[in-house]
Amino acid sequence: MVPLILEITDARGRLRERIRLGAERVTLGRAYDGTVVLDDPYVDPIHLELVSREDGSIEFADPGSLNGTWDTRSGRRLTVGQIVPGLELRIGRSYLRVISADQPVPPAIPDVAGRSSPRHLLATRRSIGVLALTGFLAVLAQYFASTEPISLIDLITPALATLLMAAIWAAGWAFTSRVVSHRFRFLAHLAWVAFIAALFSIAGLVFDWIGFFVPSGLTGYLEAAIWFGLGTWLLVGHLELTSDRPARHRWSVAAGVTAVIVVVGTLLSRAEGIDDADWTSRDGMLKPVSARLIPTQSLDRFFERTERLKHAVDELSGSPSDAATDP
Amino acid sequence: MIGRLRLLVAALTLLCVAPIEAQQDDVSAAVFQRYAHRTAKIQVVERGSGAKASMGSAFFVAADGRLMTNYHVVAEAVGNPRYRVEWIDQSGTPSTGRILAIDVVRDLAVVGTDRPRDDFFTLSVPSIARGTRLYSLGHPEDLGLSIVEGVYNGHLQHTLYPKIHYTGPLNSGMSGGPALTAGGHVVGVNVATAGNSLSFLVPIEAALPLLAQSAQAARSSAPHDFVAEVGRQVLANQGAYLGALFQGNDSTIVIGPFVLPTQPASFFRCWADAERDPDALYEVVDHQCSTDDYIYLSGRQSSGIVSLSHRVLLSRGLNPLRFYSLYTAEFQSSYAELGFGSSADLTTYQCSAGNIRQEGGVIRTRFCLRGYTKYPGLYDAVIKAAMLGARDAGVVSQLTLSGVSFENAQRLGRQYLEHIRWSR
Repeated sequence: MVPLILEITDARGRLRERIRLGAERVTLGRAYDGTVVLDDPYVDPIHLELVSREDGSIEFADPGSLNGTWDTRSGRRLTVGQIVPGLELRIGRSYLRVISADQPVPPAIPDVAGRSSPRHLLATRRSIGVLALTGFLAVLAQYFASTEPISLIDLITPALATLLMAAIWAAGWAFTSRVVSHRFRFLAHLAWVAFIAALFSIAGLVFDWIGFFVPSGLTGYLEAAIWFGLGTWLLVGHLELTSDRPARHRWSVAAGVTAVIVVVGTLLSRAEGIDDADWTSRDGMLKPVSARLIPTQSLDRFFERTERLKHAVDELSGSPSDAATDP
Repeated sequence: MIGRLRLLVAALTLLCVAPIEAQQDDVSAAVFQRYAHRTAKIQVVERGSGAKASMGSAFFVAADGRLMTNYHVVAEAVGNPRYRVEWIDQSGTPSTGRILAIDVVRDLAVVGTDRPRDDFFTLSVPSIARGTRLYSLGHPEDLGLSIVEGVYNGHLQHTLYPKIHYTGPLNSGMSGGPALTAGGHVVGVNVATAGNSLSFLVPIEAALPLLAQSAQAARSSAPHDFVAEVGRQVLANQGAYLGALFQGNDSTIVIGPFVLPTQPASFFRCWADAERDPDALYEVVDHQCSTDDYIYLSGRQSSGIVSLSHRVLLSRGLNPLRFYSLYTAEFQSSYAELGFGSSADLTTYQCSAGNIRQEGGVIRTRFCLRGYTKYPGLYDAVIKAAMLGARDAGVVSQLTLSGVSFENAQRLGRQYLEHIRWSR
């Protein structure tokens, strides 16, 4: 005869107690001399008794509790019954579940902690380190962007404002994590968004310098690809902290969402009439570099290249210069 | 007692002045009476709704009933079949007119009425002295025909196009009306005002060729493509005045460590300003030159504005990275800023940037171009330049050209950049 296991959980399904049922009489209730002592104000001191029969079967009996014993499946109130695998009862706000000891269990899930970046951040100390580093970078960027005498408060305020925005974003994800996987992980979410934000600004800085050295270089597409990649990675990280879905699933969801945001954003900016050529352009970047080190071209070469502007403009205005090439 | 004496003196002064004023009033009244019916009101009317889009004044200049007015009065109807030109003489009944000839550069147009008249102004080149009293006729703000008295103050010097400086209160709506001597000789056509009685006339000698040209057009009824004509005139006009810029005229100015071009031609006005806040970490010195004149193409477009501006930035203890944040912001601000023009008349800007090495140093430049959709071959160009290489000094310089040919934009842009260099 396979032994039976009784699991006692709370309303959220969290396990309180697990006992193996044998020949001994078992009592459940708030009474301190009972077998299982429940911390549930809706339960009687002795709410339920489990008694073993000679043939090995076990019966339960409710000796007249105030709130009763309920079958959670049928929703009926019971006073006696047989303990069988699969039986689920509710007493007060506690739930009882009977499991056969030979019931198979699923294989262990892989422990991804420590293997991919966002989960690195689950260590509080590490998260705080990332936040501090990003904050330092933000303050530094603010200092170099300022051109007036600047006080410490002025330096820190924008970084704090950004941190507040990031915190709101991270809180959204933390609550989602809480609902989906019962983990809050606010600090990890915050550190992750800060980490990606730092990457964003470092990439921006790199493109500024590229824009300075190669003003008319076609880095626009590369830049767009990197922004898209970072945006996707941001979502992937948050999803990883939130759920245990496989990595491929996370990446496809994140890429899809980022793509939708990009498309909607582009359409909106078009509707607003924002010239997309101008805000992605970094050819106005000037850097303090010795004239000897700057790659240059001759005046002739530069003005040769402006010819293509004329063609582009003529095409836009629909004037005869392009009609000639199109008989 | 002294008070009474003063009153008496004041009264005497008034009495002495009064007869002179009365005499002048008589002249005005006579001029008005005699020449009012040689003028007309012009309005451009939307065909569908019959609503008035613009109005101005005009005067009869030929026996076949041709009217002289300003181009900008009828510009709305040029190449736009939605509008027609109406003229209304002293009888008050509106009739449709047709544009016979235009001179967009001098802002003149001839409108045909196809109704012969025996009373009109015969145009000729007048010889008058500065200070001569002139009488302007026109419809200020559409309030009815009015006469305005003013003084001829000579032809303006240093302007792109010939203009008469007229001291008299012209108002909008009087555009296209005649300004004449007491004897009835038309001296100019009312064209613009800068307020406070500072007004301008188109000299009548500029109207003579147009009048001759319109005689032919009045006889034929063949339609004329005036839009193409506008483009042709603007382009033809450019050769003359743009060719002179930066040519054999090496006016430069030294600001900080930079030698920069200034006053490209006599018809430019230049001014300068500096910001030296003792608490600031940098100094700013501005220098700008611009033409006063422009050619009116339509209510939304103009051509012929040439301006250049320099902004020199000198660091006073800003570290190089911070100084270059400032420099970049200055270079990027108003990237391609040019007033006038709506998106229907102009394409978007197309830009190209590069680092150019020349004898004077390394210059970051950005050349932006947009086209006029109605007038093929005309472009706006904005050429920005920033001198590179110094850690504590920079200059953001901009040349703005409106309504120029691409060749002129390229040529002037080049010459402009060649004039920017280090002084040390």
